[in-house]
Amino acid sequence: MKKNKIIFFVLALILLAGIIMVCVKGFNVSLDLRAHDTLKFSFDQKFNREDITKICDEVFKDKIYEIKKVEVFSDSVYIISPTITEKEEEALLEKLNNLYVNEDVEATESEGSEEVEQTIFDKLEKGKKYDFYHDSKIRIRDIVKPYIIPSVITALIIVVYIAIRYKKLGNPFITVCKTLGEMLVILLEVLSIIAITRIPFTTTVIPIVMFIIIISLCIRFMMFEKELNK
Amino acid sequence: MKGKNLTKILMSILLVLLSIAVIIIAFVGIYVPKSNKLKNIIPDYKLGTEANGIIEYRLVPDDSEEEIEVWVDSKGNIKGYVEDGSEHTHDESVEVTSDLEENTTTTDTGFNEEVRTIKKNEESSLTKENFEKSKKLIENRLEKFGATEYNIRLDEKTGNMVIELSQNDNIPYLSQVALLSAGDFDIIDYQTGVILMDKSHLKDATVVSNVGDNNKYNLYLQLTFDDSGKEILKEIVKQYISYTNESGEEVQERVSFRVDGSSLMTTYFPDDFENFDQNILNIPYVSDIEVEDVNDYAESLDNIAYLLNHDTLPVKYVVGNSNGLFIESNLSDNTMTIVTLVIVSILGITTLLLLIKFGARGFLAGIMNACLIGLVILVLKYVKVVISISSIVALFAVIALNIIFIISYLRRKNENEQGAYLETLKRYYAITFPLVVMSFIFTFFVSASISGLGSVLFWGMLLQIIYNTIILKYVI
Repeated sequence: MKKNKIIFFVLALILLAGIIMVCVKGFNVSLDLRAHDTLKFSFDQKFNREDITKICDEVFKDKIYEIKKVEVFSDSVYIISPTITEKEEEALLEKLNNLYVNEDVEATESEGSEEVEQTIFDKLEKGKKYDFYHDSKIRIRDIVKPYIIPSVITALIIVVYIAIRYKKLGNPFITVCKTLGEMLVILLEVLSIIAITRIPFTTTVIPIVMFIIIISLCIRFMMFEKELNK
Repeated sequence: MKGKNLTKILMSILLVLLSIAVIIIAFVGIYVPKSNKLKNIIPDYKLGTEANGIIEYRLVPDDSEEEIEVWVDSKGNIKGYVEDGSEHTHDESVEVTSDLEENTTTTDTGFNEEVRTIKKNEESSLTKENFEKSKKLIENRLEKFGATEYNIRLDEKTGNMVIELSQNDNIPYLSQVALLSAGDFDIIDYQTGVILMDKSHLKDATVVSNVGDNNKYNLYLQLTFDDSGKEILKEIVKQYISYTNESGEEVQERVSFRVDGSSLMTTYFPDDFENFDQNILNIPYVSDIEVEDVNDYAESLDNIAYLLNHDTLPVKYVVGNSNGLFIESNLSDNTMTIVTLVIVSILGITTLLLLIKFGARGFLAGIMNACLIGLVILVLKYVKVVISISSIVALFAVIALNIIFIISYLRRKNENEQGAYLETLKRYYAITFPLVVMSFIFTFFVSASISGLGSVLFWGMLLQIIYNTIILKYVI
């Protein structure tokens, strides 16, 4: 009895902490899903991810970012960050533009060139050499939506099964409600843990959460079976 | 009795050897020399966007404008675009009349010709509601046209959309039809370009077919119009029936049935349409096709019908990168190799643990378990199930479930329980019923992450019951 009380207390605590975390900071939605700025840069050759990582580390410092190879020949890159300031954009373009420049060519060019102050934005052609986009978020509801109908159909069949198979265990309505309630608690607990631990909320979280619930349901069924066999 | 045992031992050895062969084929492959290289003839996994990358389209509301010659009514409303290819008929264009017997010479469209600057999108149409509606329509189209994985980012302020599609889908078709088709319909006078009827009178579009005398199929787009559409159609038919003029020449004024400005059919109506009084019209789409091609044509026509049965995109979009942009996945190229290694390790450790716990019987069960998982992997590769992270999770679930099943069976077997296998099976399915339901239901959905998850569970559990009942039960 005391053990049960402790479990309830811990579960309630996790739930409360999860609710507070969601209200205050929300889920830690992955960079891919949330609104972000994207800088696309085209090289004339294949690039090394490590080189770009080094540049991004220098420019963004502690800020989160993601690098994605673009195009079949991997000669373009997407640099994604929640926000890219104009200063950061300029620094990135400057460094990316100088990354694979042949130093001899650069020296000859600079000797012959007129001494006109040009920003990197003037030097590079937007739309061809680089591009900058403000990308909107992917709505969580859009990601969840495809799972709703199959989950509801599955749940309905399982509910009918529980009501028929375990009717000997008591009022089927109560058995079903109790099971659904337990699964709801598990769902909320899992979501709370995701919110508290700041695990990035990606598209894969939903099927994994579903699996946890289905496995929990299988464990519940195991307990029902034991009760039935008593 | 001894002979029977010997046969069983020999059969078991044979099955173990076969199992090892299956394990090697599934996890390593079969390599044959081809063009001086060794090539694996076992197909690869069909990967989803998480591992295989995406094709990205950037859609922007079209802000272009152009000066076009248009037909304008007395109130200044545009009644059609003057057709470039039909200048020769401008001056003798059609007047709507039902009195063909008097052979009225057509002289005027009844509208004025004007040059107007036409914006692709009027300022008033660039609203948040219209952007949302466009997104919803595109989403529905992608689902209808079989996009297995997609994401849409909508900027509610600018209306810009970023659409991410899977390489496994028919990208050129999806981009052209789902993303860029407005889904508009009209009937115009082919000679002048005057719009005779617009989409508002169209009630329904559907695909119908018939079989010709040569046993080949003809497909039609059947258009059903509302009551006012029926009246307009009656007038159109009357007006565009072919007739013979005073000089004995057959005059054929034509109409065009268009979807998004492209003609589905340009035709005149034969004499037998004189008493036409219906709200249904069949537009021939393709004729004399073989039965094996019917499905492909019907699907493409059905998609046109879908566009016509749903709202027109309220915002016209242009695509920034016409061929789409391939964005590589951030998962390493070796993801599936790592997954395979993890699976092999789990299977190896399980076999070892079963050997320790249950002896030779446990070892055999471990090998059989690995063989079953190998078979599941081969089926997934051949059936081309899309492998996403959720399918990998499902695959691990199948492995775990079979291990639980085997342990439970071995325990019963060791206790010399009567009907151990049947009892294990009964208990197992009573407990895993939710997973069985999930595997069935999820398999039927188009979305790759859902069908992938369902398919892995479905094939896993189906092979499990067949394999365990026939092989495992026999060997152990």
